[in-house]
Amino acid sequence: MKKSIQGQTLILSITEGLTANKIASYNEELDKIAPTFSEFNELLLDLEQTNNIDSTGVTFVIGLFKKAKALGLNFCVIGANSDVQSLFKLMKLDQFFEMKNQ
Amino acid sequence: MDYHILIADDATMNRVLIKDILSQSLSNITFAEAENGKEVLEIVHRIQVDLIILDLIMPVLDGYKTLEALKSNPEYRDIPVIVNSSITEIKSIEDTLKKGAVDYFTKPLSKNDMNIILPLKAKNALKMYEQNHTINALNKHISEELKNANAFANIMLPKSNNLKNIDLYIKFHPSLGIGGDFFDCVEIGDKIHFMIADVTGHGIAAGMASSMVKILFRKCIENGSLLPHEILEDMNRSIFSYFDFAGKDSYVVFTAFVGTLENNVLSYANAGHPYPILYRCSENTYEEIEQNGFLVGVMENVTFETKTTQLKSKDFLLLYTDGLFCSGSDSDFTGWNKVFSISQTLQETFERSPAEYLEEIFYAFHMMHKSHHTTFTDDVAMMLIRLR
Repeated sequence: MKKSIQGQTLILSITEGLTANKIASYNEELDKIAPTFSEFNELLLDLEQTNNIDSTGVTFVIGLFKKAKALGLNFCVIGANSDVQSLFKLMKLDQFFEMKNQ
Repeated sequence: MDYHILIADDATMNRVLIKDILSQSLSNITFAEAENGKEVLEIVHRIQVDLIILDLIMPVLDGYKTLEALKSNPEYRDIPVIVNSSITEIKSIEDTLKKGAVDYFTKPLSKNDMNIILPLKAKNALKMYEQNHTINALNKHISEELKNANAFANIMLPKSNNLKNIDLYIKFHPSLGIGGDFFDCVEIGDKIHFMIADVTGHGIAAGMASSMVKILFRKCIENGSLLPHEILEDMNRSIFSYFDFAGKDSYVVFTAFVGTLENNVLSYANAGHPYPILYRCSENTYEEIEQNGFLVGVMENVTFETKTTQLKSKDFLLLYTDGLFCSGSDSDFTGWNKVFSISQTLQETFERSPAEYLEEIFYAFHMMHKSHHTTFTDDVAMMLIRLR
């Protein structure tokens, strides 16, 4: 997971699959980054390089969304391919946060 | 712990030398001695040996053949073997290491070999062997536990022979003996209640969670009056009221499709589950039940929606979990469209035997995964409900 900052926006980019076997390490990284969330007003999750996601990956995204929401940050998923978007729509996640194509 | 080292060498002097070296540097050691390979095999058959120091040139049965015999026998193949030979050719060293020896020393042993290297390598080999022992014992224990858990999971499967209004067929393939996929189908009066769910993750934790889901589901349908969306909402509420971790950790998070069948009316609600397939027999058509819905167990106060559709006799409903089409890192996680097309191509099999139909769908995906050099990595559950 890569972290970058653009003004008041924190961008977290997932560079591999968002699957059960990777989530533990993403969570470890997130534990280090999360204390800085309050310094921003927007959190973007960049899934452009993510070609694979499973249900554990989906719960990771929801967890991130909830963390951002609790701190009053706008949360948005960017760059998700059409398959990832289909899965999020199946789970009605598009009702909770926006998905943009970059 | 005492270790038992077997020294195999036809020269008494060499056996004594090795014994002296190891006795001085390692504690809790006992020794056995063999003059040839045949004696080695007899000794390992008779007593527990933790390390073998093996000469190659020996009468009766040489070291190469002894090593082969040891490594081809599942009972002895894990015993570490250190070769100690006067043969210095690289080919010999390569051969024995390829055959499974952990190390190779050439005679005569140098001063450093005697004082430092051999004792350390023997110590490491013994340590490794002991660790392997522990791992094997642990694996055996876990396998036994999984076997018991699997037996329990099978007890929880819906019983297909006591339903009067429908025929029920199931296929369950847990990835680790126990899994987070769950399905249930119960007839209460003239009403059929069914549910298929997929707890996130797989293995023991997911299996435990799926047991809870079954209890929650059964509790919800006790009075038979809740609509499918109310069942999902009630289960979601229960998770948040019963568990402190709800919403924070994804232990009891699942997709689900819940439905009822009464007077040929199908009522259903979906919580992020791959679309089930509906076959309308009189029209000979297949359709996906396209309804989206939020996952259960991640957010409090989410709502679901019940929809209804009229069915006729001999129509069937095919429900499945995403483990069918998801496999490994390159999987097609939106592969429900493939299930839709494959289920139609296998209609002839369905007409012959619905149970075989499920097997054939499973097999079709197995072959698809195989062609991508993957296999089922998640639990797979399929349930087919046919109206009589």
